[in-house]
Order: sequence, then C-alpha cells, then structure tokens
Amino acid sequence: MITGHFGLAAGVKKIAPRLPLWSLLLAAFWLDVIFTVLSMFGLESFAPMNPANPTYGEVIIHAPYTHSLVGALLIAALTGWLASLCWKKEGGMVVGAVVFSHWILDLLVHRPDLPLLPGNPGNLPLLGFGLWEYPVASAIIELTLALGGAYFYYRSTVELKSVQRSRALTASVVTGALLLLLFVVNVGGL
Amino acid sequence: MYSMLIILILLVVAGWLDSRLDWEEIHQEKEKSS
Repeated sequence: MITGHFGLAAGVKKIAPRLPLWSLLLAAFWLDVIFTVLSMFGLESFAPMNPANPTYGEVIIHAPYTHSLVGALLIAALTGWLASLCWKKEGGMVVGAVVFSHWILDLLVHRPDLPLLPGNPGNLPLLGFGLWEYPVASAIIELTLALGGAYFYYRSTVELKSVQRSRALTASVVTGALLLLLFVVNVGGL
Repeated sequence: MYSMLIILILLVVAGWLDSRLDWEEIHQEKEKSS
C-alpha cells in the first residue's frame, strides 16, 4: 500500500488544518523513508514474490526495525516529539499518529512479515492480515482512502472565501489527481 | 521508480498549493463553531 497512506494523510487536514500538507504526507510515508535509508545499508529489504513479473501486492518485505510494532511506535513517538517543537503538542500528536497509521494500514494488507519487536528476537510470530492476497479488495480500499482523503481535504476548506476558495479547489483537484495517478501506477505495476 | 517520482511531485506541488491557503482562518472558524 502506497496511495492509501497519502490519502489518509490528506484527509487528516480536516481535523488538523494548521499542519502543512507536506508534513502530513511525509509523516504518512516516514517509515518507508527510514526503510529506504536502512535498505541502502542492507539492514532491510523487499523482494517481489515473482521477480519476472512483479505485480501489485506480490511482495515480501524484510523490515525488522522500521516495520516492527515497537519500532514503528518508537519512530512515531520520536517524530511526534520533533514535530511538537514546530507545531505544538497537539500538532506533534497528530503527526505521531499519522506516522503510526502507516503500520496499521500495512498490518491490514501485508502478508505476515511485520515483527513485534525490532530485530525480531526469539523469532516471535510475524504479523499481517494479508489483504494483498485479495488484490481487488486491497485496491478498492486503497482507492477509497485516496479519493476519501482528497474529498476530506476539500471539505476542510469550506470556510474559505473568494480567491482562497478557487485556490482551495485547485489544491484539492491537483492533490486528488496526483493520488489517483499514484494509485494507477502502483496497481499497474509501472 | 515512477511511484517515487509521483510521490516527490505530490509532496512538492500539493505542499506548495496547500501553503497558499489561509489555514489560520480555517482554524479560527473551526474554533468559533466548536
């Protein structure tokens, strides 16, 4: 799931209008940003199940630090604390919650590859409800999150008037279109 | 590859369009109505 994370982030503007959209989008993707850095050092990785024909959701992720339950909570708490320095306690809590929402959505779609503890000591059972086994259902949920997020983003701007109103419409349409494009590219395996 | 490019565009373009809106006004209206 990629688009769903960003859709949820856009929708959060409805409850936290003072947080800049980029901060929410980045927060929703933050675990994957750290995952990308760790994968450069060979600490985490992901591999398509069928490398000859990689398709939507056909992937196994080895992310024992960033995508462990406790690791994700720690990253969310630390990021939330850092965000609270810029956007006060309330803003920090929202950013932290958005960071952790990534793990919750991944739990829904991943096959069991999410550990409880960083590094998975003791080989504890891995978590994941495996909705990717049903790609149509998974894609519908992801599309709903993307379009729903763009809709709630637009709804959060209803108080604006005149020039600001048309700017809000432009921002909502562009955000929605980019989310839709990301969804098509992601599901199409492009 | 294309996904990463779109994500980058999303962050920059949507973030910039969002920054042109008066969110403080929205926040104040929200505070008044609650």
